[in-house]
Amino acid sequence: MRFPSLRPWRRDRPPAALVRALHELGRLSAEPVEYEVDADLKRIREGLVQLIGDWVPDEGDAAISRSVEEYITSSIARLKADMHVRHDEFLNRYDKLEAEVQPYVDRAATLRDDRYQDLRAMTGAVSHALDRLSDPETPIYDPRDTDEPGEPRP
Amino acid sequence: MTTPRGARIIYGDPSQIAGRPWTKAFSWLVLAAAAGVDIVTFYQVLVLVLNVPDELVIVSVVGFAAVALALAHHAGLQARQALDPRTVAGSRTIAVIAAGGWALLGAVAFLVRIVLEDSTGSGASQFTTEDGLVTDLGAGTGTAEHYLPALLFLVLYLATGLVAALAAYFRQDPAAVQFNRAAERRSKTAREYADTRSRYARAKAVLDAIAQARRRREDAIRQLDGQFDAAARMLHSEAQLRLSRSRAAAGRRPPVFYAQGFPVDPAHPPLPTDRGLADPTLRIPLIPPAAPLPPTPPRGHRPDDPEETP
Repeated sequence: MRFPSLRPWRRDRPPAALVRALHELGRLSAEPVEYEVDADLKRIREGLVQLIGDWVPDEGDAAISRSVEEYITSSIARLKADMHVRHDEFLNRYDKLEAEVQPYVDRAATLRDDRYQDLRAMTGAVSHALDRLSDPETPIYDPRDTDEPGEPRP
Repeated sequence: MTTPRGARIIYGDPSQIAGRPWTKAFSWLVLAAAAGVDIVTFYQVLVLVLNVPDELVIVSVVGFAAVALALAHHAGLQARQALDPRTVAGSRTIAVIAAGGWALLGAVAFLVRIVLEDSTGSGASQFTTEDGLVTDLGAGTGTAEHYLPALLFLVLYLATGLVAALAAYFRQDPAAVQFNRAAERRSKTAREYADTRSRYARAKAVLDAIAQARRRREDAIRQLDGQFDAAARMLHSEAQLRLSRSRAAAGRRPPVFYAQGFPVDPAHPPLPTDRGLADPTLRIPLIPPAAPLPPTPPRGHRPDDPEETP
């Protein structure tokens, strides 16, 4: 997995919280996702063999099947519960990271939009200055208008 | 009558956007020299009029020269505006006022210079001999030479004023200056916009990386759930096979298997509302511990008949 580089931020350093979040994300991603199913499965199988042993149930003895099923189901459910607890801990750490990064994303988006509006206004100012230099009778368009400026006059 | 449409008429000079040549710096040198000349000439006038310390005289001289040059500058600037095809409102009036003020300033200074030259008998030279005898050689002599310094002042004043006015007249079009300012400001804004976009992209990339890592973790846990379910089915099969093998070894009939290998308990069939009843591939729900199994029902017995079920 590739993480965003901090190189373009050499001039203006990124916020410390963002750097910390990035490092924490690296640590989180470095932790293995895989879960050792085989080892737990082997332990359950050994317990099952030990419980069943050489016992021979009757054809209609459904209680044996129920017990076996309950044993297996509960053992697997416990493993899954442990796994989901660990998984929830990871999700909590991701939530915390998102909560730390989201304000900076919002702030950057606001500043970007503000600069974009400034850029549009200055583009209009340059166009108007050129019109004023070449022909002051040319009407100008409103730089606050979000539509693309059309021909100022026929 | 309609106006024929043709090429757009340009009244201005957009080439001024390119700015002035570097030789424009010489005009600033000339203006600086003119300011120096004005300071010298005004000093000769004000030192005769003001009865104040010499430092204050210098201050007033500098102010006097600055005002004179500013008036000449604005007179030339507004004259340019007044002669422009797109006449700027009020420029002609401002040009006349500035030129009149500049001329009045010079005329008064010239008159003061002449009057004071006459009253003080300026033009004569005085010196002290070793005997302490003061001799005035030029007092009361000559007429035209009395006015020469004043005339020189007047000419210098006119010359420096003309230099300042011409420099303002031929200055770069203010619209071009404004365009350059706007273009420079727009470039700066574009750089700032690029920086803010970059910062946003980086912060968003971190957020996306977190979301991607979360998705990977959730996909992995989903796969692990599937692995655990498969492991449960495998263990069920192994247990059933082990029981079947034990029964086979004991000479008994192996139990009936469903698709997932679980035997059916005839005493506790699944309820009609259970999904397992309609889909035999689903796991049969766990059955609570029951009493001892009933005897085998007779032939034709319907297990789901409520009247016959014990």
